[in-house]
Amino acid sequence: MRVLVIEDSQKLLRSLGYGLKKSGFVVDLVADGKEGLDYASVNDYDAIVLDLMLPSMDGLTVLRELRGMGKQTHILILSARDQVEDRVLGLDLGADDYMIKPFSFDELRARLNTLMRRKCGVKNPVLEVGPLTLNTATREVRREGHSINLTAGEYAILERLILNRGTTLSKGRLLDTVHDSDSFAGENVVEVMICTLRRKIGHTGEEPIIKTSRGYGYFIE
Amino acid sequence: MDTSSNRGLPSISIKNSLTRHLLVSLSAILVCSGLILGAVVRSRMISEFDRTLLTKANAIAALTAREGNLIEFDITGTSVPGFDIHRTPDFFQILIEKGPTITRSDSMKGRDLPVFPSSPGVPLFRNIVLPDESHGRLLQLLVPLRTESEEVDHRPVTDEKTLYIPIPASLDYDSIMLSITAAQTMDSLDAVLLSVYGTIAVLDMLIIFCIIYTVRISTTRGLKPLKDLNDQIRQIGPDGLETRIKIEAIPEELIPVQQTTNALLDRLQEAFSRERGFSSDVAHELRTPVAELRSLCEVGARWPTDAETMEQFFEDAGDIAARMERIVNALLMLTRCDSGRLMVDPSPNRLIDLVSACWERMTSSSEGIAERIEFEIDPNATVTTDASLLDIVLQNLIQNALTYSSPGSPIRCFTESSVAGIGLVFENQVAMLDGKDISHLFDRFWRKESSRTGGDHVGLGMSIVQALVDCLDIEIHVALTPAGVFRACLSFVVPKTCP
Repeated sequence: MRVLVIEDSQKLLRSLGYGLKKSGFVVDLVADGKEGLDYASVNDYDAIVLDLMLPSMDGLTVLRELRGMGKQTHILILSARDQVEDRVLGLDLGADDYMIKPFSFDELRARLNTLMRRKCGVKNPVLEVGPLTLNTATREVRREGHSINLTAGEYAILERLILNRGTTLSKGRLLDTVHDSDSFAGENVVEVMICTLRRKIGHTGEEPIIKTSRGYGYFIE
Repeated sequence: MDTSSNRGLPSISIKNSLTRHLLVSLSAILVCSGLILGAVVRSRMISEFDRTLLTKANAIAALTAREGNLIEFDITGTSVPGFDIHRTPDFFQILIEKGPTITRSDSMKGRDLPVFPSSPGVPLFRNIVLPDESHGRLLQLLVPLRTESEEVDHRPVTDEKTLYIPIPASLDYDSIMLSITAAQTMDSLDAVLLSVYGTIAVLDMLIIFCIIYTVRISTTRGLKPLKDLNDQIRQIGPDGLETRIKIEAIPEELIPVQQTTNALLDRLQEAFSRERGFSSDVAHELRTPVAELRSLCEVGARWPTDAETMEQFFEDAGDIAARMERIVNALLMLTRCDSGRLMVDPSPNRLIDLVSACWERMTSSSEGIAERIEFEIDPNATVTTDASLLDIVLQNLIQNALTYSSPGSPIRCFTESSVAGIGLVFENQVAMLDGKDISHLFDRFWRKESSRTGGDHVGLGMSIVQALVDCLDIEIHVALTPAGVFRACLSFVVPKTCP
């Protein structure tokens, strides 16, 4: 899952960025409202964590601009403002969720996962594809009851493919799932990861679970 | 609008009160006018009636004369309208004063009209009941008997034309006074007056109905601006403080109300805005470090294996703790100042010593600031104050100047003397403040940068300065010149000594 965090507190940015990356998210970190708006308009994120009191452009303006552009990215507001009118305003302007500081990191992670499932129209945190089950809450992958050990990048790609089941995802799109904006990795990274994944998760009958759309990308039926 | 102060008290409607007062006043004026008019009409009509009676009495007197020892009365002169018994009955009688009756009208039917004491030549009018039982008016006139001749030159015979009455021998022929009494019924006059009164009453009632209608229309129209004002004020609630009173064609009397109410709403809206801003600022300053600490702890505890990252996390935690300590200390200081529990120990000190001590401590703990401030302090300036508390004030003012002055611009600290006392002034060029900010400078947690990003300041420095100078009986004045020079002046008042 690719997440943009817009937060002016460097300390919070550091800890959140570290924790989300360790949790398997691909994270871009920005400390400025205007810069955050630029990142959000150019890149395709699964979710944005947005602080409200930001330098150069406040969070509500960033939110308003994004929605005004037609951006449908899920936005979770993370703010110290706890008054009802602040929460109502944020949600009415188009935010999908609102968390008040101080917050639990685990709760933030869970809410981001919820936004991801909502984006893909999936309510059940446990996803099944043939003999394979993937638990988005615990990040566990099992095949016929046996746990499969995946790297963060492999898990992210598999989760993305299952959540977008039936849709072919390009290599570029899958690359965004595993690397942040500052990375210079090429699409061959995706090819390598798909190859490893196929080996680990196996087949359904004689067919691989992850199928190739030649010249374009990959999909799961 | 039901307020607690009005509960239980009857409400007074200006419109109803005004309408009632106008109606009662105008109706009273109208009724009084009607009564006066009626009285005037009656008086005039009775005067005219009396004049007619007097004319008749004088006519009757002219018909009477002395001829020798006889009184001659010309009967034919009485056959005039008004004295005809068959038409409107009029009554008259003539008698010699304190003597016999000479004659009376047929309408008297042998009865006498009352005789009242009167003066010669002065007509006396009275209302009486006439012999025919009707309501009438009587005129009594005392006139001297006119002498026609001393001798009777013919044989006097009373006939249908002339009446001869012998004068009693005991009377002096030359001073006989005749008492002529004429009376007339007032029935027709009364009928006319009644008609006039009735007309006045009907007119008055019609006018009163018109007044009621006119007054209601006038008060409704006249009080419409007040109603509009009332309606607009009712619309103002806690969520509508941006509303302002605006009345089309506002009357002069309501202009001060509109202006004062709008000014009050401006102040109220600003106060609410400041309060909301304060709540938001406090939330940010207090919650953000806690959120930072919590995130550092949870993430660090979950993934403790990266040593370099953990080192950074602990360093961050230390910074956060230090910042929170500063906030706590500042808030405690403010609480002590607010509650009056701050111990103040004033003593005389040279101002230059106090400023120098503060500045030396600051330069020893911060590099690169020694050359930033130019001091011009009168070495003889002495103030009586608590040195340690003033040191906190000076630290905050100096720190603010160092942090917010435009890069490369000079910061000056100098003394000013006046009759009132000594002033210690800090002056520096600022780029980020404007005139509106000056009124917020001492607000707790106020910072110019709304995002409150970065820096060690939390927006309590100037609040502490204000609270401490209040405790130390020092005045502080801040100002921003159009050229962008910020000036903060601490005024130490010289105590007055008895001559």
